[in-house]
Amino acid sequence: MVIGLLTCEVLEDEMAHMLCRDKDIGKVTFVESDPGKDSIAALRALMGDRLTVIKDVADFRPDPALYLEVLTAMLRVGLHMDKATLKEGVTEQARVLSEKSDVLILGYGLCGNVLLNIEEELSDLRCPIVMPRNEDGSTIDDCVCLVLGGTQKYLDQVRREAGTWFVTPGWLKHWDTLLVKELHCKDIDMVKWVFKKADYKRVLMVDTGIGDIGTLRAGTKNFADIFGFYIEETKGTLNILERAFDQAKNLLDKKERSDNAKRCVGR
Amino acid sequence: MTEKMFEELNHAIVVGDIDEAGRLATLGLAENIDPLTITEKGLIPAMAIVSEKYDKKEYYLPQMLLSSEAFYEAFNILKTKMKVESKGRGKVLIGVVEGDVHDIGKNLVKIVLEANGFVCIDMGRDVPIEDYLQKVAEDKPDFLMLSTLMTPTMMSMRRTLEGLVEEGLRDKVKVAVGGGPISWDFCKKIGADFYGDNEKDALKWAVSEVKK
Repeated sequence: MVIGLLTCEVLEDEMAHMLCRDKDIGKVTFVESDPGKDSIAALRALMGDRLTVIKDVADFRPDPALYLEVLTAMLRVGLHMDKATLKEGVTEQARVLSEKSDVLILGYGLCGNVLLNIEEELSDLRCPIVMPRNEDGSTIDDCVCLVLGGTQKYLDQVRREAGTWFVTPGWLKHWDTLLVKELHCKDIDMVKWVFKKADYKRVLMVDTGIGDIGTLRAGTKNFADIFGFYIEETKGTLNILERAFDQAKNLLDKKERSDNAKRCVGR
Repeated sequence: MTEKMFEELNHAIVVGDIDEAGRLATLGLAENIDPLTITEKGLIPAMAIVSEKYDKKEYYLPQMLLSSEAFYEAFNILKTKMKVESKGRGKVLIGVVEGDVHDIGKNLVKIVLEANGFVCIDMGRDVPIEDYLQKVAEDKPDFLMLSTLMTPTMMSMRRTLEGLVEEGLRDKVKVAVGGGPISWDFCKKIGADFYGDNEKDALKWAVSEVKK
């Protein structure tokens, strides 16, 4: 059985963690792309020959001997700066991955409501879609709410300080791409000016427990020093991602039972 | 000379030259040009160009922000000499909802409304629901315009509408909502009157409402 996983580059560390620690996953096949190159390197170090890299989704051949494998593709972080590009990118790649998957996890949230109706729009896919959700079943807002543990946790934080810039390993790695290049600022001074105008004051480091805490703290301090923010830390969680993987596996189990039943009836 | 000054003022706003916009507004007043005429000929066309550039993806957020700053540098100077009725064409209470600091969209709406004779009470950003309700009761605006860029803070709009109903204020003010994640669907769901995709939509709607 194959879980397709389409995710944003900003979640590369979290996804690598999920893929490595899940004992049920026999193999990960990564569709080669520029945004995925660091993930591939990280996964190769962690998974060894359980990782396969392919050039194109069409090259993917599922291993019938395995109970579970993951076919994953990663899209570039800057897609969400343009609504149409994000929607088009996610929709297109989801369709491609779904052709080789039994269930597809979309590692995205509402992303400014750009993906609000994505499940409905992809309802014709040959496999079901799973998206990260809040405890009440609503789709998660975005990558920040995802690692904080839900929408309410986000609201609790912005009620304390509305001018908060949240950082995760992914946001720290890609901030220059997102804030200079994708925001079309001519340099960091212009980003500083935009932040000042928007009244950002605090950088909140979200620690989900993955990666090296010292590296995360150093990156957060560097970011805070550049923009003159004060630093706070909060505990994050990967519970929402874990629930999404569990839901995908449950759907696969159901599918397998259903397939078996059909085979028995056919005999 | 006057036409050249208007041209230069428009240019200063389009390129986001804040100091030059302020200097030219001051110069216009010193030459006894009517501040409303300066606004109509030197400021409004510039913002239309800026808006067009944004639509064409020639301008992005920082450029919009710079032009807005240049606009207000000039407009605030001109306003001191404007003879505007206390209510103008209509009174607008405008702000960003609680938990959100992203106010460029709100500011653009405010710019076009003010430039077109509406009086705006700017509540700023990260504004608690109670503050909107209190201000609606006290200042009796014709319009309440709420904005947010983030999906988690959208619910604050719903609760503001509920608050207006609870306080018996709903039929006293027209409510518009806007911002990146907002849609007509959401507007209807929460019982607001109007959803605008941009500042031009907001202006067109406000003008049509005051004519009713």
